[in-house]
Amino acid sequence: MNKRGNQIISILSFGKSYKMWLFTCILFSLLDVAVNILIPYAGKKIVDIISIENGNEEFLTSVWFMVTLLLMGTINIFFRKLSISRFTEYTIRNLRNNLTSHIQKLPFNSFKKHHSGDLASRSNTDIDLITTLLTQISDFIYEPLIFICAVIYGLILNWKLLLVTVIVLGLATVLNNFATKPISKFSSKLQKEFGRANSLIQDTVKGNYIVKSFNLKKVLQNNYQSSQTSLYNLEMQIVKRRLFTLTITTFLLTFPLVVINLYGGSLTFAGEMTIGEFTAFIAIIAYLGHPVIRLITLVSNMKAANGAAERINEILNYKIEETSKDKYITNKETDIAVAFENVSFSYDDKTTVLTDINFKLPKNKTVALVGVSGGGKSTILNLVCGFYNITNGKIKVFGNEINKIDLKTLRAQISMVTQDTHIYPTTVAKNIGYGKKNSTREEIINAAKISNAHEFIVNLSDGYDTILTESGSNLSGGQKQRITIARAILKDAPILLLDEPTSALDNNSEKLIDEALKKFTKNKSVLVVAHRFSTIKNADEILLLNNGQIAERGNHDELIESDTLYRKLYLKQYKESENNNLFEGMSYNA
Amino acid sequence: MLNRRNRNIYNPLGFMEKNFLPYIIGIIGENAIQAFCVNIVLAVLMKDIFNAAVEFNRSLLIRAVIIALSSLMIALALKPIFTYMYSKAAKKTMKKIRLKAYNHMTELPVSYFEREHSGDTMSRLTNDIKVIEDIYNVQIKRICFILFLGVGSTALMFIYEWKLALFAVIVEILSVFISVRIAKRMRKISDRVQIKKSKTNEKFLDVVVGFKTTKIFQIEDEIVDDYKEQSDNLTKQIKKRDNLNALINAAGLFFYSAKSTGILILGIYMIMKNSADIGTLVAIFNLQNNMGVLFNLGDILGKLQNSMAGVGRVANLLDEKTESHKFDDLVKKTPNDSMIKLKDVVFSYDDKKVLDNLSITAKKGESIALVGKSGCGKSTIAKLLLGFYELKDGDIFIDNKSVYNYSLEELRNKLAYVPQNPYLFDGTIKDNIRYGHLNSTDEEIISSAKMANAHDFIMEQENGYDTLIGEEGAKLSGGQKQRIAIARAINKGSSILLLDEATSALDSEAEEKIQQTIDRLMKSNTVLIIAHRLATIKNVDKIYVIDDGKVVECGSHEQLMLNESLYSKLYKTQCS
Repeated sequence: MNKRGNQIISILSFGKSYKMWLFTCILFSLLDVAVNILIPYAGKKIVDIISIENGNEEFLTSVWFMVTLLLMGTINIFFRKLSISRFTEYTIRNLRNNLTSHIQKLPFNSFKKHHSGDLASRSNTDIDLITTLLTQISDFIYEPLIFICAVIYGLILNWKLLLVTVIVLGLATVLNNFATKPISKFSSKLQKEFGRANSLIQDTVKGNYIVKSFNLKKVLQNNYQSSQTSLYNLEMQIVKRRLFTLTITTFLLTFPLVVINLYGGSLTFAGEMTIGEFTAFIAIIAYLGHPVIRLITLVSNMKAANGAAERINEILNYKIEETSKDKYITNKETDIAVAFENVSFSYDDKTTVLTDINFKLPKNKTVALVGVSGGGKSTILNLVCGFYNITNGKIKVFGNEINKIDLKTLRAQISMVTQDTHIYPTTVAKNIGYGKKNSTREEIINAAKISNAHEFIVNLSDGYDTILTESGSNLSGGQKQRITIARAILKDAPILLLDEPTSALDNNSEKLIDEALKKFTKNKSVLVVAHRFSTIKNADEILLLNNGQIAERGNHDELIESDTLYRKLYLKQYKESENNNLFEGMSYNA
Repeated sequence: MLNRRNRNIYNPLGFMEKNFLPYIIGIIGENAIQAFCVNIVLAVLMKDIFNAAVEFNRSLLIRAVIIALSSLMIALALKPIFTYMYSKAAKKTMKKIRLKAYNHMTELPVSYFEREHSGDTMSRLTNDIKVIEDIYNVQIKRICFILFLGVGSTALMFIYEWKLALFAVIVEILSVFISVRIAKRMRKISDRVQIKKSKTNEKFLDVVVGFKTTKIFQIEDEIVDDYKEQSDNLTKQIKKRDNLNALINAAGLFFYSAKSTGILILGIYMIMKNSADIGTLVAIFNLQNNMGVLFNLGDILGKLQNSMAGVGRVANLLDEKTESHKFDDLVKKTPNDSMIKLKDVVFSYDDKKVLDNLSITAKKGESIALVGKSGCGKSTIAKLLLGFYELKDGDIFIDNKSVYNYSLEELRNKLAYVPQNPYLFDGTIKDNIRYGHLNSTDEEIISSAKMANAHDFIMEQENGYDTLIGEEGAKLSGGQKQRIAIARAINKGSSILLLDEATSALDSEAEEKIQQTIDRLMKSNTVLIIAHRLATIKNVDKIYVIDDGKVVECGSHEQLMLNESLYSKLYKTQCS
């Protein structure tokens, strides 16, 4: 089998333990083929009784035969549907769970390759496509078989009539396809025209201030009118075209049935087949046409599912983050919390993001990273967490070289607060409690108090048991941030990474958060990214990053005295910035 | 019919007016032909063929051929005519509705757009109108077809052999009775599956969106376990749904078999007793399938009911009051020579007073700025100048004439407006600037862009002025969009420029560029700036500080900075 086929097979392996359900389904499908082909036969027997004198006894036998078949058919369909459903449900559940837990285990850089919307669509749309195929999987056996059986039975009944039927039906189907094709050419034009009309609507609604203040009403009305006129003309063209098609279709759908009936009637008339045989033949016509249409659908579903499986397998084939390395060793080095030694980094091996970075963050000190956006500040924080592999150099956390140790044990040493720290859609208490395994309610409340969150939490409808909505939309940005800070407080890791935690907030929340951070960052080694100079003035060392390199370093007083880039940036911001005063005297390691 | 029962339900056929007659003739004609000449005639044909075959009756066979061919001819010849009639009538009506709704929407006041979500209005004009088209082209058509086919077939069955017909009707009713009950349960379970599905999705998004956080706090296992729990719950519900689904399939087949075999067995028995003929049996066997469609009518009517909601939403839009403006023939002139003058203006949204006896003046060529906390009413003043809202009291004079002496169009021609969030239209950059003045030449457009400090970055775009704006075209920054909006306003060539500054932060370079532009414009125009950042307005002639809907301070930057003014306080907080 080719590579594309393998995609589905590897997905099917998730259903290995449920293959009995699949076999059950196949068994009932085979039975169904038998029943469905015997029903016309039983019908023939019953009908032919009318030409037999005194056929009462035979009539009764035939009737019982028919009733038995119909009951069997009912039972068949029930178990066919049930068993394939079971197989599909369990297989899909396994697939879903495995996919999710695999994604969770991926290293950050392979995860980053995909947009979150893309991952979500793989877990929804793609899994749905596979589900559809799985529920139809037994049809790949059923449909061809019933078709073959129908052909054989048709040959037995009357080969001439079968030949005529196949020719007329086949011809009609081919011609029908041919007739309906030209329409699709128009539909793209139509879509375009609809798009134009819709963007006019959007312009008018969203730009209503402009439309009014620039007196554009008349112009837009004329544009819309002309768009509607061409839409109307296009649609009428399609209507005319479709009239022609519809007439042909009506003919092609009706004429074959008329021909088959008349020819069959005349064959019966001529005594070449009995009336019962003719009836049976009419009953199997459906089995001659339907499987063909059905198989076309199945093949296209198969293709779609294959594409879906390919996309899912792409994810499943990514290697998970390695966990088998050495454990983190405490007290290996006590004075230096984080050390970068000649670190270079590139996301794609082409453009370097960081070049030759060297710095040390001593225990319980603060190092600030400043510079224009895109300078690589946040990347440094991500590297400390082991989210990416560095190209060159060494990063050490309390003496442990991070690419040689188990990342889970490394991360136990680190807390991080960013602008977009995640809020989980569960209770407030659980959100904070994620900071420390098995934390008690007291510990959680304590952490919330330190982060200035307790007060607003108790005012929520269910206090600490309030369920937060997805991405915390029932909280303000500042409240969310204070919950994430409480979580970090509870974790109480010796290293704290801050990535502009207050940049998207209003003044009041900024104040509260700065207060909270001030309390909490005592006795922590802090690496902070910030663009407000007031935030970083009091750091022990400031690193100014430019184009991925440390361009300037020193404390605020040193840097501001000489003619540095830092000084330029500082003075510029001093002139322009708003609300600078709120940060006066701010320090994380006061 | 629906109209009488509930006044809030609009009759979708009411939009048709003179297209109604061709529509109704067309739709009835088409479906009657389809039902009788294509579907039902097949049963008639088979009756004759089977009887001919059994009785060896050649003339019956010939009659069958004649009936079949002649009705096929009728169908092929007449159906297209009827289809064309109703399609054309429906399309014409749709065009009319679309134009009417769109034109009406352009006439609606700003208050409407501020009250309603833009997505909602757009959806009324697109999706809901599409629903009306669906009613015309799909739902009514389907109802007609069902009625002709169902009623015609049932009637013919009773004519051919009432006993068999009665049997079929009874089984059909029984089957519908049961399937309706199962369907109800099915709907409930399907809803539950949907809920569980979205819960599972939410948990999945948690994994994806919270990836970094989860790793840092090492809660991978908890998060995945949460997901699995939801996923298992989902599977449980799906199992219930699938069980029911299997049952529905089995029940459906059972009743179908019971009906058809019942007819077959009863029919054969009657033939044996010589009280029926084989042709009749075959015909009824065929017709009983058609009869079933009658029971879909409930479904279709339910869908029609849903569609009525869409019709209602379109009708509501058409019922919205259009923009109005009190026009006064009696010309009121201002005593002095001012370009903009607000005199004792009072304004409130609903009951909330926004402006309270506010007076502001800008002489010709002067530049003024309005400052104050957010919500103090600054932006409202721009909207009043443009006639977006009606004053409660007081008067506004533009170029020495009361706003009531202008028509809305004349008034708006006097002012060039740059709103807070500059909306750019679908189209090229050039198109957007041209909207300022529709007859402007390319040279005028370029000179406006230069004036707005936009020319340089426009030339850097792939196609310069012809670059498309939007997802596929230029991805413009907030500052760049603003400068295009300013160029558009400059291109309008009005004597007054009204600039509502963007509240969102621009990067310092963009801010500098816009600052330069404003300084340049102040030299030649009367400019009113609604300022959010005080650093940008130091050079204006006069600054009005507004608090609580009133002017509390007024003067130049230097004057206001001299004493302990509110302005100097605001300035210090922002610019220290």
